[in-house]
Amino acid sequence: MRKEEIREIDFSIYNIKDEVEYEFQTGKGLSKEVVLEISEQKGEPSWMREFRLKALEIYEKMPMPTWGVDLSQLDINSIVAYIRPSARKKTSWEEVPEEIRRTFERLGIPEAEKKALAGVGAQYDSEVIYHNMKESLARQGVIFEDMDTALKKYPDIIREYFMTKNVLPTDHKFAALHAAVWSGGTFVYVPEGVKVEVPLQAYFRMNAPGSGQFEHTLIIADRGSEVHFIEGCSAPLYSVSNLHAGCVELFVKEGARIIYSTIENWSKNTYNLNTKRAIVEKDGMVEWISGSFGSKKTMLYPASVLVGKGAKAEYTSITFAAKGQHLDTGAKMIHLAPYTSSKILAKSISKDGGISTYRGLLKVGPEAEGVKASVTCEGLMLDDISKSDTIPVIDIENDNVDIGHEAKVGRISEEQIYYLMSRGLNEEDARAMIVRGFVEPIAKALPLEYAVEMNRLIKLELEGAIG
Amino acid sequence: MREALLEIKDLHVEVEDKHILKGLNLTIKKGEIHAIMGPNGSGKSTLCHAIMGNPKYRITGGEILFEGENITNLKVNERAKKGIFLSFQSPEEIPGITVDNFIRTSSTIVTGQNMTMLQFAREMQKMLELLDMSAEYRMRYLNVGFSGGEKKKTEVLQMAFLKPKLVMLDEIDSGLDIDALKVVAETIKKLKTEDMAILVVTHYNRILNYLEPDVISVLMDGKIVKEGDKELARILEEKGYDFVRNGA
Amino acid sequence: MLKRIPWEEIQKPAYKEYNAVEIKDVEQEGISVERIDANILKNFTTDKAYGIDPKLTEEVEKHYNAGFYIKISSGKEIKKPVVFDYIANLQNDLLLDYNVIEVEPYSKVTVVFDYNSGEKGFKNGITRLIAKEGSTVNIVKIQRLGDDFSDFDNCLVEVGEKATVNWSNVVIGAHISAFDVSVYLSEEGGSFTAKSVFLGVDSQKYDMSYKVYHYAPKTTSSVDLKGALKGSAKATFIGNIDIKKGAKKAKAEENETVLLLDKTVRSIAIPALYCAEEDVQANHSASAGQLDENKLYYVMSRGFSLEEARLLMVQAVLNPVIDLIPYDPIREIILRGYIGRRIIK
Repeated sequence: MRKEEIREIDFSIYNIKDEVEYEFQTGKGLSKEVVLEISEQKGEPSWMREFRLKALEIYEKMPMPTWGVDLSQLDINSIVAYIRPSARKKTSWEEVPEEIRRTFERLGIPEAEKKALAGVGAQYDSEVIYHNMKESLARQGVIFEDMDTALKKYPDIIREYFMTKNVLPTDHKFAALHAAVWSGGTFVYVPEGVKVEVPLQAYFRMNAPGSGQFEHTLIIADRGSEVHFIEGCSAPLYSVSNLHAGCVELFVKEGARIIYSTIENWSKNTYNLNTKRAIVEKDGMVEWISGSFGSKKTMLYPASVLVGKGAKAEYTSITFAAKGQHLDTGAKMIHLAPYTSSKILAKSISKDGGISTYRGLLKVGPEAEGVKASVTCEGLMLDDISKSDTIPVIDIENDNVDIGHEAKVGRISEEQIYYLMSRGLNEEDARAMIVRGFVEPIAKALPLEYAVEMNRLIKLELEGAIG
Repeated sequence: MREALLEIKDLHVEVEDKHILKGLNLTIKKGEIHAIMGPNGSGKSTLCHAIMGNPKYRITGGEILFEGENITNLKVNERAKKGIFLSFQSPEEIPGITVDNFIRTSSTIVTGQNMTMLQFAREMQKMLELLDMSAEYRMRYLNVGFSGGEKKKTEVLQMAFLKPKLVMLDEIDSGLDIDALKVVAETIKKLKTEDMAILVVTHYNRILNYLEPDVISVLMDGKIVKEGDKELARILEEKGYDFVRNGA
Repeated sequence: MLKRIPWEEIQKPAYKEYNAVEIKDVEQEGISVERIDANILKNFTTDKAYGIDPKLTEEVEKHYNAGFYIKISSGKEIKKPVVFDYIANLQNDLLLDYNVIEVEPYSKVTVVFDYNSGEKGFKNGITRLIAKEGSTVNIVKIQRLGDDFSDFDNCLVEVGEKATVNWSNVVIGAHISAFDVSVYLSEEGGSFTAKSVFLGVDSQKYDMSYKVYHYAPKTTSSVDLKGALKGSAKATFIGNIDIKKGAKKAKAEENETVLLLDKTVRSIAIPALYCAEEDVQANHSASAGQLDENKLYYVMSRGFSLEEARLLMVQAVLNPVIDLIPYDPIREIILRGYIGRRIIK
């Protein structure tokens, strides 16, 4: 499936330098040497090295996207400093910005986790917990490994699947960049018929160089298997680098199911440009659950390509854009096979001048008979300086379909506030309750601790809004 | 002689530039069942909302005293905490928040008491039975997709937990069929304590057959023009509002 | 150049004059009609964005060969609709019409534009509507040009304070047909309603775009587009609701429904909603699908063949807008001629 361009929208790119300082000599962009150094340091097989170099070539040739968020202040060349293993700087707790540290307090994040999340130090007991989980999974034949290690332990499988049939380096500039400098991430393989009971969580692995920035997640759910993977957490992920160009590739084999949950709260200086795609085979199902907070700019459009008869996809998300943020998110549902179905529920909240944009694609190919698809977008505006935009594209090439799309935008109604106040809640709490109700469908789909954290995070974000 | 619970003195209320209440005087005593009747547009709902404190209803003159205290400038939630409850004519839908969750939160705030899960569940069950509502309502989102009758019952459910001193029923009989009306009215009667005053705003007589009023006031042209006992209701039904208007 | 339009498929005849328009019922009190010319156009320069593509609007601005300036004086209620019958034929197969309609305050008028006939040709036009304070303007646009025509209509609508514009649109002809209606609600209380229907068969390609800009408070808009596609017809719909900051209490809604009658059709819809103001009500919906099987069965149980039943149901979708055409003869032609012929082959 090729790239979709929304031709009516045009954001031009200006050329403004980024003010971040970097250690080693400037003037050198992303180069062959850096890529080779990364590969060398990891001790990768030669095919991966070649793959990276080829991706670098593609990256250099491709233009920056001309739509979406304003990427003018992103100077890609400066990120080189942070992916270069030898030049990697370890942050100390004191250097983490005050507001990040305070947020950790208020969200009740345990001490040890705080440091890991802030990219501080290698002392994290997670290795123990992680190790135990790995053992119980191994007994079921489940592989749950960090990507660098997986490349060495299971080279054949990685070679077959890593950016070869799902996300390709040629898809867009940041996919190519990712392919050239990827580092760290997670590899999960669930064997036929195995249902993994406990959700697998990824944030333990913050310590590998370049990790969190160019992580590659590859999950293969073999026939009839089930797994729930959770990425990120509600605590702000502070990192000195300001670009995150990760990649997630999901393979849902016949009759399998993958639930992929994400709560993202990158610190507000970051550009979050992720590429996520699932290929779903016959009777398979993929569910994306996503809460996007934080980050300065986000472009995130998880795509589900339904290639097998009866495949299903669901996307449920909440995007909360506050001051100085532009969160451009959405979902792509691509129906290539008959009797496939998809459902999108995208909610957004904008306040303090934040911009939240829903950009989606619902595509039905000529072979896709009997498709059922629905898209529901709701935008909640908390003041009159913010923006909420919905730009869906519905492209249908078959008559035997049942497609519905609806979008609405508005604010919290005064009548609702009055009603809640007449039951004793003060105005602030009334608003918070209404917003909680607004995001409930997403909270409901997350494991409990995440839902609790997300609600706390929302409350924090709202406190800025009121008063 | 019963004490006054609510005293309204020379109240003027405007809504969207329209002057609706024009010097209204009304006293409601503790424990009293007080019916307000009047033709459409006379200001009955406005009166309820003005007492509840809806900011859309602007008080441009006069005052409202509750238990001797001037509440004219108090916010809506503060009045709720004082013990004033309004059963809305059109209750709002709050998607995403369950009936259970909402009532629990609200009752904790208004009564100042934190019930245990068990106490709450027991009380809920009791009330749902009284109101002839199934337990599944607890998990439904507040008023979302509820029929008119279900919404009114949910209002009474809330009233049960908030234990108010003054209950205002804004046309609770509209949208209820015979059986539902009976259930709702009997439940309200059961919930009524000695000191609880009930202000019944109604167009028709039906509910007054169940909640027999001690006093009936007629609201016309923005003022209370006549007061009487339940006999007055019968006369109004026979002779219509014009009868009162013409100074009888 | 707009990439959506298949420019390579367009054939344009050499530049020539156009002399085939007929005007009906223009002799009513309060109406003044003149042929458009440079002097008139001098008064109507604008910096508002509109049009399918700058290349197209420029072409009309420079080379128009037809068009009228219609002015309705203040406070007049024009009883009968004014009809501009733009006929195409062998000698008149190039039509570049520039129409300006200026309706003075508190007037009421209905203006009908009927683009019809011909077999092959090229039409590219601009229609400017300025509906001043308190006026009510009904515009009816019918496009039933020949099967090998290329048709482009660039419209700019400016709605004054408390003015009401009702825009009805029927698109059934031409091989390639595109329109863009850009509406500016820049004065308080202005209201715009559009009801649009289309029927695409064989290899027809339609590109339909409504862009409604809410700048002022208490403005309302409603766009309703319904249509059907058969054969390998293709339709693209762009519906932008753009609510600017300050447009408090604006109400905007948009609905699009497409009936897909054959496997080989293509429907692309981009119903976009841009909102920079919180105190508004804005919503949007789009749906696409086949004729309801249950309804088809019910109709057939009353004696209709499958084909006839389908025709009936397509008519049911299109009729409500066709009924708005105030001119009986045209209505009849469309109902009987076009729709019937196209659905039942």
